Amino acid sequence: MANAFEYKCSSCGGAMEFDSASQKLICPYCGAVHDAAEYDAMQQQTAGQQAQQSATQGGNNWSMEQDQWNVNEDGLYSYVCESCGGEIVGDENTAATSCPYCDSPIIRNSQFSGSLKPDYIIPFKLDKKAAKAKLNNFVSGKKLVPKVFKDQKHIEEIKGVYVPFWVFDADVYAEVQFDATREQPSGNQIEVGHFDVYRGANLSFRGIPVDASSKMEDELMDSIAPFNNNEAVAFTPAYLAGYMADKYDVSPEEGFLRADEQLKNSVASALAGTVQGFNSVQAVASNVNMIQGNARYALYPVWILNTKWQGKQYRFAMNGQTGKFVGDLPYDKGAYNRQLFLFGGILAAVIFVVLFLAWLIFR
Amino acid sequence: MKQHSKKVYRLIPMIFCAVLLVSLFITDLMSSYTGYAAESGDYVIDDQGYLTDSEYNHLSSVLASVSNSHGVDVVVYLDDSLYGKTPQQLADDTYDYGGYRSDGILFMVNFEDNDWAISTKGYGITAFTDAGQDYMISQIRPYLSNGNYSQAIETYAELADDFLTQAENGQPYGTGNLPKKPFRFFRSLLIALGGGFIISWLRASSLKSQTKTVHKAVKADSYLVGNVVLNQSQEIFNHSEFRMAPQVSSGGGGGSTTHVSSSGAVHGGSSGKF
Repeated sequence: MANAFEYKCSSCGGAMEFDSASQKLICPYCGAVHDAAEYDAMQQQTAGQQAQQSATQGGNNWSMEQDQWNVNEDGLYSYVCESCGGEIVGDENTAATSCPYCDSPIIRNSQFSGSLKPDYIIPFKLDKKAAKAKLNNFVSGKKLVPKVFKDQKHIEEIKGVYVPFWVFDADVYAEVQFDATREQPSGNQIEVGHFDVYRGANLSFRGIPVDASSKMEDELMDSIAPFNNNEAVAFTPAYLAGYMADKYDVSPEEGFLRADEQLKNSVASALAGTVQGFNSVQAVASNVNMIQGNARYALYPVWILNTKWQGKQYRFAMNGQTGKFVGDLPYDKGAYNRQLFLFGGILAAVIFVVLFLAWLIFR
Repeated sequence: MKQHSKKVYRLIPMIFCAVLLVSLFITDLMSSYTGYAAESGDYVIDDQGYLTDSEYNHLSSVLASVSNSHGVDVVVYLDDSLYGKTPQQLADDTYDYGGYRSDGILFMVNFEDNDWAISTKGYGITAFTDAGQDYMISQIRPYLSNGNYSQAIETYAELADDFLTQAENGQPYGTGNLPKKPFRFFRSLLIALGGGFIISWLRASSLKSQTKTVHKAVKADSYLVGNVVLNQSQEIFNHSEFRMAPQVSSGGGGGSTTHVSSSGAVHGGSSGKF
């Protein structure tokens, strides 16, 4: 069981949402505006006062814990919406969602308390409208995407999700041995000199992101990176209002394995770049020692768009901060063949004419 | 005095017989040396029968006509053995010991190791320059490779006629002055189709790759901060090995390069594989 919280407008009681354009909590009903951090601080203060009052009166309930999630036999978590009484279903990782009936944002504070509290969050900077527009731009420029897909595609689902990421910083000392060759003429032969080249350097990596949610495809999340951590702010639940969020279910140790692989590849290529003046350079051994490293838990903004076409599901993702849009698209084999043969035929005709003219001129 | 004359007269038949014997011996030696048993002055030497009788007769007639009209022997020699010689040596010797004029050209096709060679002599050196021979072979080689020897020799005869005519006009074919090549329709068509479709395939592949934008991250280059400051940098020589340098063309000039054959005669010529 876990506690949940609905962001109610202090003026009209309507469900408030975080507005990416103004970076404030806004009530869509009365237009009231609140700073996210201030709103959370105010709510905590109120909750503290109520708890104190209850304790004084002999009660033991904290107001934010009155709304609890129930676990059913299937392991699903359900919650009764305070606003409309509808049932909201989630799983053990659900951290922020919305009521499917009245769209009220629901946030499970327990998913962000103690060690589960994210170190920071990058708030959404781009809204749903921008994500839809990006999808159209993304699809329209692609010549091989079936026209019917472009025309008939309808977004089945579009959701703003704060995806949990492990963000790794690492200072490493790396030593790499290369086999390098240098060629020089020697009479009517070429002398190929082989050298053992050693390079060692301290390298620092900052902010390698690794998807910490097993629900999200790693490749999809890799593809929308990087995020700009300079715009990160201290986490406060109010940023989640109106968006979905999950807590992490991939351990930092598992996440580090992926970061480490990327890091080692970069170390090898960075040090290879310092080996100059050779005809070929091949890494033969490497040793990367971690001097210090740390993992931070962050929530990154991602727009997820799902479409269905010819019975197949297509999922797109947009970086909610930078607008980078990715997703594999269907391609029309007929269009591919047309592009191949039509263009190939025209080009072949042009080359043939050029050859003929060259023969006429230079024969 | 009379006795002395009688002795001389008696010696004449003996000297004649000796000269005849030596001549026969030398001829036999030459025959085994050069490896063919052609009749002196044959324009087509084909003891192994690579050509049919009708082809042989026709080509002999064509080459004889070309040779006689220019006063330069134009010979073709087909054989299946190099007799331990290089193709160029065999071509030179075949011409030298074949009873041909001091001006001529011999084109040899040898099937022991699929070699061709051209030997030129006298005015043939002037008429058939190095660049000219390259051109001739470029025209003949496709027929050789296809096993169409008759057409190869026919082409050789036509080209030899053209080359000799050109030389007689004072401007032998050479670098920068080669015959106008016919437009190679099918070769051009193949190049155009090949080039066109390879470029088109690359373009189509690029368009296809635009539909796939989801990739696994394999490097963390974007997250590397600061410059790479080396605190270890060593280059230790391990070993070296040698390989042949690619041959650089010396560049073509006009005229012919010559060499001296085993008979001491100066020849031009070239050789290669088909």
